[in-house]
Amino acid sequence: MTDSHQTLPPAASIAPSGRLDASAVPTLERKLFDALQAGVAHLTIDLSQVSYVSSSVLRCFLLAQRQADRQRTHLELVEVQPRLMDTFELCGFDRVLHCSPSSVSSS
Amino acid sequence: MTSTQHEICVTSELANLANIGSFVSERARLSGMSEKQVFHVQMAVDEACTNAMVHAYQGDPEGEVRVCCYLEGNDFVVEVVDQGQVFDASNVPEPDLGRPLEERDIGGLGLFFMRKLMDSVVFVAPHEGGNQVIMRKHVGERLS
Repeated sequence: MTDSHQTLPPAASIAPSGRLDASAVPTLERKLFDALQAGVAHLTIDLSQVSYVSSSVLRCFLLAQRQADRQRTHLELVEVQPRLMDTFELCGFDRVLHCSPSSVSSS
Repeated sequence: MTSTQHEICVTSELANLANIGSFVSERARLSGMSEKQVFHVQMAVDEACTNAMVHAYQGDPEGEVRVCCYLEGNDFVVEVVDQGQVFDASNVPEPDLGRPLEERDIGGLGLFFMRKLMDSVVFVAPHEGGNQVIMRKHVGERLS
């Protein structure tokens, strides 16, 4: 007899660090989609230690957000540094991704 | 008047993007740019080099990417040169940033950033083949 009841993790968090350029995409993509495949209800991407994101990483976030929307996972980018938030705003990603700025003031 | 040129030449491995970023940031900083401008230049150059590695060389890590920086008058100029397949930037449509998430085309963002963050971006097809991108940014704050 098999137990059909599965307990899914309610939340997961990913905290990349440093400079996220195109070379970081394969690892980041795998981590994001592994977490989404686990079926979490809430996925947080903590960007507090990220100093730079390139367009290929933004594209990766966008694809993850699409998948999250399809499966009703709440995906959120938190602790976004001011310079990265400027980048998000420049390309309108602040309107399609749930992102909240860093709680540490840069001024 | 044009200042001394500074150059970095790397193979077309994505792992070299960080070295290029450090090199360009240092040169931009030394030219007198603000940290915000340095960040913008670094991002535009990163996108241009990523295009060279991913599109011109199609992921072949054995290619050569050359990045050259200099001051021309009040402009900080960066040239990115590769010997890969000719890349026609005019064929890349601008991303429609107002569309809903599900309808968005996910391409074209790199070129969008290059054009948005620099004052001028010119694509040249050298006679000897490959691609040359010449980007300029005025040293000193403008409206952006």
